[in-house]
Amino acid sequence: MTSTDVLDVRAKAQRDKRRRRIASIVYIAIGITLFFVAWVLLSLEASPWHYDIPPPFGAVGPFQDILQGVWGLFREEGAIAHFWSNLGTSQDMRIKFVHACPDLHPANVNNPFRQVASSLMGWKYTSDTAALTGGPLPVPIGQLPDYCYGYGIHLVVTIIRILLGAAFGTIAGLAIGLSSLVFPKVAQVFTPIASFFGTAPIFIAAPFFVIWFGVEVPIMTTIGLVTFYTTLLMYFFSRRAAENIPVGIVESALTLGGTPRSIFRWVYLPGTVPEIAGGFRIALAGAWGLGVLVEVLGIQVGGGHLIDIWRFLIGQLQAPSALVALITFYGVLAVVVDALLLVIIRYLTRWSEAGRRLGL
Amino acid sequence: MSLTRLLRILFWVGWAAWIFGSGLVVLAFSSLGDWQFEEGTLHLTWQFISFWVVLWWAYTFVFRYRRSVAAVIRIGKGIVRLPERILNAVKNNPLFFITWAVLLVGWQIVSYIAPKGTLEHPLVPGFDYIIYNALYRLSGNWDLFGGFSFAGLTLQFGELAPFPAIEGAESRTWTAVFLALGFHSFMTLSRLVAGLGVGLIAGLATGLALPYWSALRQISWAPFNFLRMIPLLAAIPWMQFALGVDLRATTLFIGFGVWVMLVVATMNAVANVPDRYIESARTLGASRLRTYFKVVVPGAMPELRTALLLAGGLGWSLTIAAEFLGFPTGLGFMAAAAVQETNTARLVIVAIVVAFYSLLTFYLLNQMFNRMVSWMPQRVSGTTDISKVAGAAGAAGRAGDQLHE
Amino acid sequence: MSRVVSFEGLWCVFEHRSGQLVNALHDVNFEVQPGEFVCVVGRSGHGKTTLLRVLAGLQPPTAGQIRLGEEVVEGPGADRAMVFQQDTVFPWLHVRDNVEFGLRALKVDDEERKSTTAHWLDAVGLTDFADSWPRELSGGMRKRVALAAAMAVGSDVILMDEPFGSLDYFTRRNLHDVLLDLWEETQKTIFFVTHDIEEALILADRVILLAEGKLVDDIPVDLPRPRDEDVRASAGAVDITKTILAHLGITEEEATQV
Repeated sequence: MTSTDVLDVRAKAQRDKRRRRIASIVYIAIGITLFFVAWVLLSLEASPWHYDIPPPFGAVGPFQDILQGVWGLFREEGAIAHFWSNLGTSQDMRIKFVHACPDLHPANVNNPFRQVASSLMGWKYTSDTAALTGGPLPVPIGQLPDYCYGYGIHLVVTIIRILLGAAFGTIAGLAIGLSSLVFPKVAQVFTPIASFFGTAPIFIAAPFFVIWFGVEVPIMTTIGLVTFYTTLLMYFFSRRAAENIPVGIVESALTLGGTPRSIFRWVYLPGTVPEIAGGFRIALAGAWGLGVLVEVLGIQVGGGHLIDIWRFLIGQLQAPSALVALITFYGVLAVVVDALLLVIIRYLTRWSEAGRRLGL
Repeated sequence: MSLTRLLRILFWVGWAAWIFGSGLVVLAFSSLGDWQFEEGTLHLTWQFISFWVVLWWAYTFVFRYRRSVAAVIRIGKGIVRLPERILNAVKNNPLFFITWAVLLVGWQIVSYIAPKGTLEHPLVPGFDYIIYNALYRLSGNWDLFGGFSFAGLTLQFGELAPFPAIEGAESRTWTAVFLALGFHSFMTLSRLVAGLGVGLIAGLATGLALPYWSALRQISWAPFNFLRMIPLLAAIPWMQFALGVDLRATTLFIGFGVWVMLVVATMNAVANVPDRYIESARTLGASRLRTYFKVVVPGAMPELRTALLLAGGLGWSLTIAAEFLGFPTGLGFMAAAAVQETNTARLVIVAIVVAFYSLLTFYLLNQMFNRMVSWMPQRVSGTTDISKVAGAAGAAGRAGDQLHE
Repeated sequence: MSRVVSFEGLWCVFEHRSGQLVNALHDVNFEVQPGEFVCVVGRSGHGKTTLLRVLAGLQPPTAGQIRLGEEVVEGPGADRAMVFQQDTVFPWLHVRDNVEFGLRALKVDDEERKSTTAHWLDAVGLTDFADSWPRELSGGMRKRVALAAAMAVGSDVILMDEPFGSLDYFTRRNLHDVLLDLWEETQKTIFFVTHDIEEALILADRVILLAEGKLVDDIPVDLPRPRDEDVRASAGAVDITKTILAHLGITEEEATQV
């Protein structure tokens, strides 16, 4: 064979590689398209779920919507359109006096950051507070700025709460789980507790949080429940990750003169990262639903509360757009956060075959 | 087809037929139990149900006499040996029991010092309060309202009681407490079993079918991964709007959640079957279809254990949460009613009952799984016991310290 | 029935993880007569396994083709059964079902299937373990199961990819005897990939040497059988060993030092 033939063979291999990549992208695109086509078909008038499922983009008609593309976003009755138009401010929420601004101090009322913080912490500046502290009179609810009535601020508050809970829980779960590797007694004490609370559906713990903290310290309800749940999961995942480290590696480290501290630092800690990271993804995916649901049960601010309000409005209005929009939002949020996590995990575990295969 | 296999199939077909047949037998002897059917509602007495269940299981005893007797003897021996086993467990793992004892005693002590709150019930109820107050008052949850309706047929449970519940303190009996717990458990379990069953079958079937065609696998990747990430708990209000409040709704809802989760898990398990098995089968001349069913499907099973357990947990969460938000029966309803009256004591009872059932669910799912993969090498216990390794590390560390001194 | 296997201008280009292209097979041409025992020898990563996988039909070549008689290899099939380096006995099937696997796929009738299975189980000495689970067998026994399964489908070409590499010395020697007996009995063409020169000397009629994906030499091994220690110490055998070592880039001095 001559050298041109060699180049031919290589060019063919390159072409095949490129073709495979393009094919997989095309398949994913087909999948996403089919998803929306199915949604549109289910929301058609001929469909038995016509009243239950709003169209994704608008109410004019599915095929026109697809043709009109982005324009469909701005039509009224669609799920995505509803979400979009209520993001900054919402007439429905204004009518119901559902705002996310408990801090009515005149100096802070136009400060979104301050309002998010006060929503998170449950600070309330009311006329009582004003009388007690001799401060200025609170701003009347009617004069609150628009953003207080938008979906956006409610959703931001919930997202921060859930992420905080997941962070606390991860720290606690890893602390207990990893310390149990060095002190086996910790495991003996904690495993029975964790397996009892872990097997009972976590949701059964939610009412306790609502009763104990719902009225006095609402922040503890969402954050507390998510922390509790994440702690349990991360404890199990860190234990299992350590169990999956081959004993031979640990024994080899011992023969190389490893001390408990050095083995913990250089074997267990890096060796458990891939599984712990995978566990964190699972924990976070569950935390969204849990955090939102506990807000549905009785917290006055947050994305869960929006769902709760619409739960009652929906019967009167017969318009599921709002609910579907909020649920879709949480789905998209979960996917986006998960994708971000995936990128980070891939970097952290680039030495590991398992880490490479995570996800796709 | 071999004779034993034919006999086995006959056994199960006969058993399925007998579930209905035994009901008819009880109906024929009306003295055994009474029933009425009017306007789509079937009124049954508790005697009817008990005789029916007894006859139903009698079938197993008759046709699998040896096995049944062996099972009874095994259970009997287990009960006799229970005290001994508990003692052994305490000896082997004292910390487990000490932990629980400390937790329970701690709860009781906290119940004395915790603020009573402004509510009717204490915020942290002691066990005396839980048993003599909350548990006893559960008899109020045993009511005439209940009914189990499906496909236009309603089973009326009110008349199931050996005696009807009467409003007022005199109706509080321990019998009614257990009837109430039994009734609500039955409602929850029937919803769970229906939903979980549909979800498991559909999920395994879809998850095994899709990856057979590479194109379908890649096309379904994005939609399923999006559906999987939707927080289903947050979707319950919409579910009630769209599907209503009945068995069909919970079955579809729980089934959907379990289905989506299992499809993704099964597809991952299929993808993780070692290539060498597939290649080996192909070089031995097996067709694609044959390789798939004889090699890929059994090879994917071990990885499904965690997925099955997760499906069980998800099923429980969805059932309880759905009941909590709008059903008039079930354990979730009991929890919701307890939250309405801020009755933490009753919540504790519901939590214990649910924990018991979900432990049972996990046990059963594990058993089912073990039966599916009896070929799998058993994990040798002890080889991966991290505490031993950690202990060894500790010992080595101490030895090292001594050397340095 | 038996057919000549011919490799014609075979190329195989792989994509390395870094995106770089690697020639696993570089224009390989040779022919194998029916009933020959061919050992493919080379350093690891120099295309031995790729050659076998392309022949098995598990890997499409980038260019060129392999023919069995007149038929071009398109995909895997029972006419080229393969024994793998790793453990490929299906753990979810009993030993007997493992051997029967290929026969069931070929839809052989029950009588014949049972007798064939019994014959091959006997030939590898596993009749007593027919109803065991694979997890209950030792590594060497599982290799015998794989061998019996490959033999049972009745292919005229058997492919073996370092099948005994993970076994201890005694088990390996024992399996060499089993394999040679089976080969003499059936007169199948056998492709045996190995990096062990001693193994090649014990088994092969002919040694194909691969280096960087190229066929560098084709050495006939015309030593008398059985190839016991004396035969392998003879001048002819030592010459062959030297030739192979030289091609693999190891000089005689280096070899003796090792």
